Formats: sequence, C-alpha cells, structure tokens
Amino acid sequence: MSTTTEIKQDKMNFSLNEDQFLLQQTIRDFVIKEVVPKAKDWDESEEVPIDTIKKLASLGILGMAVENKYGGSELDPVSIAVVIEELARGDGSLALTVAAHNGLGCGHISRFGSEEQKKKYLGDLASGKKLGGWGLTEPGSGSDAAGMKTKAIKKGNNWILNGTKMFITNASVGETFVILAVTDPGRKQKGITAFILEKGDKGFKAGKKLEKMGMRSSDTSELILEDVEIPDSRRLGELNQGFINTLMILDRGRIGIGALSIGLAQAALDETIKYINQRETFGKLLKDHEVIRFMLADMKVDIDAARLLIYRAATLASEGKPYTLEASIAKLFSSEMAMRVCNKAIQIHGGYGYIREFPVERFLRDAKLCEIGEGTSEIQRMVIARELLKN
Amino acid sequence: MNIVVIIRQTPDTEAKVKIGSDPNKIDPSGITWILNPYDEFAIEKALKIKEIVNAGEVILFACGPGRTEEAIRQGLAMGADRAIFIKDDSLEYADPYTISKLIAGELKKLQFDLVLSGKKLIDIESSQIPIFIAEELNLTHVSFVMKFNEIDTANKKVVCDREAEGSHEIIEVQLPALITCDRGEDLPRYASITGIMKAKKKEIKEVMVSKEEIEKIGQRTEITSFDLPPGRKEAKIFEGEIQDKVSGLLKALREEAKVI
Repeated sequence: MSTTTEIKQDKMNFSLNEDQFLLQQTIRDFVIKEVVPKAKDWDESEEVPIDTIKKLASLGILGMAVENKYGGSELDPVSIAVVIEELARGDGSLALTVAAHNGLGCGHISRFGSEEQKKKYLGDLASGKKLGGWGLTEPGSGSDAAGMKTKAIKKGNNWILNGTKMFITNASVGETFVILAVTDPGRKQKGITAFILEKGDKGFKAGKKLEKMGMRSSDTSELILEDVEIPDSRRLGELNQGFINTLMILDRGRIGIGALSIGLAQAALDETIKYINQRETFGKLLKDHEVIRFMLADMKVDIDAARLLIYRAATLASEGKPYTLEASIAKLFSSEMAMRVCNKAIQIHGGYGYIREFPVERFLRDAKLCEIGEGTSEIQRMVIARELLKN
Repeated sequence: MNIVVIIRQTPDTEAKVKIGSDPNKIDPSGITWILNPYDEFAIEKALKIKEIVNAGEVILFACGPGRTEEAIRQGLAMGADRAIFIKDDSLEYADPYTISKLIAGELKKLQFDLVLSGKKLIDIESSQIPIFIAEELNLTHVSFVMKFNEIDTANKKVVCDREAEGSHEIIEVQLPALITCDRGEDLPRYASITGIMKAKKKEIKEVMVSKEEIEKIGQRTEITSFDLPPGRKEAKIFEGEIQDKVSGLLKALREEAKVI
C-alpha cells in the first residue's frame, strides 16, 4: 500500500491565472463605465449599441477565438468564458452579440475554414469591421437538423441557395454569415454543408426584425436566401460535413451561453445585495431577515456551482480534451440556475423588482433566452443522457 | 523622450475600509487593490506623449509591497514599456518621505526627460511623494496638470495647462521636469487583450532595499491611528403648516445650530 507521501498528484486549480485575472478586471472596469449606465436605454430602444461594440473591438474582444496570425487575440476558452460573463453582468444582449459573433460566426470559419477563407474573412471579423453570424435554425427546425429545408444545389462550379433562416443573432447588423444548407437530402444530417455568405450577395438579405421578450438590444432577425449563387470557394469545410462540424461549434457555444447565464445571475445577486442593505421592512433592513439571508445564500451557492461547471468544461476545451458532456451539463445547469437566481432577485425586490426602473426584471427576461438558445434545456438533457448511454 | 511614471496602488474606491486590530493599520481583508486612478491618468498622458513624439520609452516606477505588481502589470498592459519596482513588504505603511527618498535614489541612475505621477493618492489623499522627489532631484515641478498643450522635443520643453482656483494657468517648463496629473480630457485607455498578453513579457526590474537603508532614511511622519468618519446625524424634519415649518427652521438655525 502506498503512503500519502508517495502519491504525486497535480494540484487542482480553481483560480484564474494572472492574464485571466487582469482580463477580468479590465472587462469589469469597461462594463462598469461603458455598459452599466446605458444598458437600460439599450433595452428600451432595442437598438444594437454599435459604438460600444466598436470600442470592444479595439480591445480585441471581437477576435477572441481567432488566431493571432489572422488578426485575432487567440484567447483560451476559459478567458473567453470570463469575458462573456463580465459583459453579461452589464448587459445580456451585448454579451450575446459578442458571443454569437465570436463563437458561431468567427468560430466556424476559424475551425473549419481553408487557409484562403481564414485570410479573407477573419481579419475583418476580428477587428470588428464586420460582425458575424451563423444560420442553422429555420422556421420549422433547429437542433433537429434533419428537418432543415434550406437547400444548396450545385450548378457547375457554383451553388444556388434557397431557404429561410430563423432567430439569427446579428442577422440585420452582421455582414458575414455561416449558413447551413442541405446538399444531399437523402442523407439527412449527413447531407448538410456549411457556406459563407456575405451581405451584398444577390438574393441574400435579412428579414424582419423579431421583437423579443428579452435580449432586446441584441439583433435577432430572419435571413432570407432567394436563388443566392455563390462559387464553390465559399463552401466551408468538407461537403456534407456541415452538421458534424456544427455539433462541435455548438459544444463551444454552450460554454458561452452558460457563462452569459452566470453573468446575469451574478448581476442579479449584486443588485439584490445593494437593495437589501437599503430597504427596511418590519423595522429592520431586509438583510437582517433570516428568510432573505437564506435566499441570498442559495443564490450564491447556485452561481458558484454553475461557474465551476463552466470552468471545468472550458478547461477541458483548452486542453483539447472531449467536453461535449461537460459543456451540456454546464449550459443546462447555468441557464436554469440563472432563471432561479433572477427570479429570487425579483422576489426579494418585491414590487420594485417587477418594475423596469430596477434592472432585475431585465436580467430575468434575458436569462430565459439561455434556456432556449444553442440547444434548449431538453436538447441538453438528450445530449447528457446520450453521452451517458454511449457505451 | 523618456518618460517615467511614478505609480502607487490604493484600495478600490468602492472598498469598505475597516480599521485593523492595530488602530494604525487598516484591515486588508476584502479589499480590492487598484492602480491609483490619478496615476492611471498620468500613464495615459505619458502614452499619448509617446504616441505624439513617436520615440522614447514609458517607464513605470513603483515602490511598495509585493501586491503592487498587479498595478504595474495593468500599466504595462495599457502600453508602458517596462517597469522598475522597489519591492518590500515592509513598505506597506512607509511614510511619503521614505518612499520618495527611495524612488529618488533609484531615479538618479536613470536617463529621463519627464517624470509624471498622479496629483494625489486616493487613499490617504496625499500629494507629497512626487513633490518630494522633485525636490530631492532638484527638478522643476508643476502640479495638477490637466493637459499638455505642446511637446517640444527639439527645445526640450513642454507647455502644460494647470488648473488653479477657478482658472487655468498655462505654464512652459524646461525639461527635465516633474509633473503631477489631474484627469483632464484624456480618459485612461482600457488594456487590450494583446496589451495584456504582451505585459507578461515586459520587464519588471525588481530593486531590493535593506532594512538598514530604510531605517537610515528615517521616517518623518507616522500614522498613530485611523478613525472612520463619524456617522451622519439624523435629519430634523419640521412638521405642520408652512408658517410653523419656516419659523421652526429659523429658530433652530438661530438657537441650535447658531449659524444665523
């Protein structure tokens, strides 16, 4: 039997490294000064804050997942999660715009694009000159990709695309998109290919802007493709590999949505702590009521548990290890956690929590998206069970 | 043009300061330390000057306990070229005189044209360190500068705009000089991701000082105790008709507060 001194084990590390810490402080500082004071107005006007996004671009935030050589800042997945969380503490919509641009648009081209495609598209995306988006979901299909209707038909060396994409983040403000389309209808999921489309391609345009419950200053619209003809050089990745690649993009995106959920929940907790230190009921401050303290403790436990799950998934991704299961677990728990925490925050605020003068109701509206986007909670449970029963 | 920026680390403006078990120390638990905001303005001004003249280095200069390194890294991430750090945990409560003697001693070994620093520290509201250093090095100094109107490298002079009581003074200074900075119009830049990554590779030259050296300087001031500001008294609200309220207020101002 080995003695304890003989067991050599790497230390488990739950803290951010020096760079990640400095990055977190920088983004936090930016959010406090540039985002928090404006987030309510953005929500009311439902406008994408392009000026603020440009400022983030100058810090390198729009090329987080892009390699240095293509103009990106090449951050590791843990750092990206940290940035998304901090942005969401100020504004969920802004975090969503940034997450979709980085994780989906840039992410797909970065990971599966040819050298030529990376050189052509990533520079403008990473510098924030152009915003990116990604089109998988359609009016009649989402994670159930076998129901996809958008088709790409080969004509000589070109492709003709027809169809409609639905609920596309950055559809109106974005310029470069990755679009999934059926290239071999008989092969269902294995007959889907990705293409790069740009605004300006004839027949490709954004449809009507969708009015949402939350995430209101993030742009969500339809994308309409009517006989869009593009050369084969716009095909992204191997023919009929589009959906297989998509699953990998979604795994990474789920870490982002989880981090975003944590930011919203943390913001709700921060606001709650401020409020209970001021508001009195029955002759004492709210913070001195045991019932409130217990709710506060539950909120904190929930947030910390979610954050550790996100860091675990992100760390595995950084190390190049499989993380499909861990990303789904983290996304599922974090998004449902954010709903619980934001709901408690409103409950503690009472009537003030339900009016728009206080931000907690916005956090809840924003958090609801996280249970739906990048795979609903039900899809996450399917993924988790499938991974468990794989062998 | 080589610019030295003297920086310090202070508790965050949001920090709730508690007095420690020793009444002349504060309780460090739960305090987030930040780069002194006025020193951040000084770094921004230094970087702007470097961008304009397109030559020389911005060198950060810090003197304090080990944790100060976080503030140095932030300044390097903003774009400063390198740093010199007189590092000693015993300097946590060193008085401004000691700090300035130590910094001045090291600065003598350096080639520079301009020394910048914040106009004050936000923790103890002290503005002494840079001015002491100017005195020690026999440098011209200008305090509370909002902006630089002119940088003339050929004639080695700068023109700066200094806020005085209700007015502005435009001052031309021959270099080398020491200038303390106010906020002005230039808000400090945020460190970019590339800046943060590069900061790690930039040099922080650590300078060790012996206990004897520090003692030899001999501190001139000593903090004997900290006190929290007294809590505000509750407001007095006058009830009744407007006539009664006004006469009640006047009576209180005359007889209780004795201000009229």
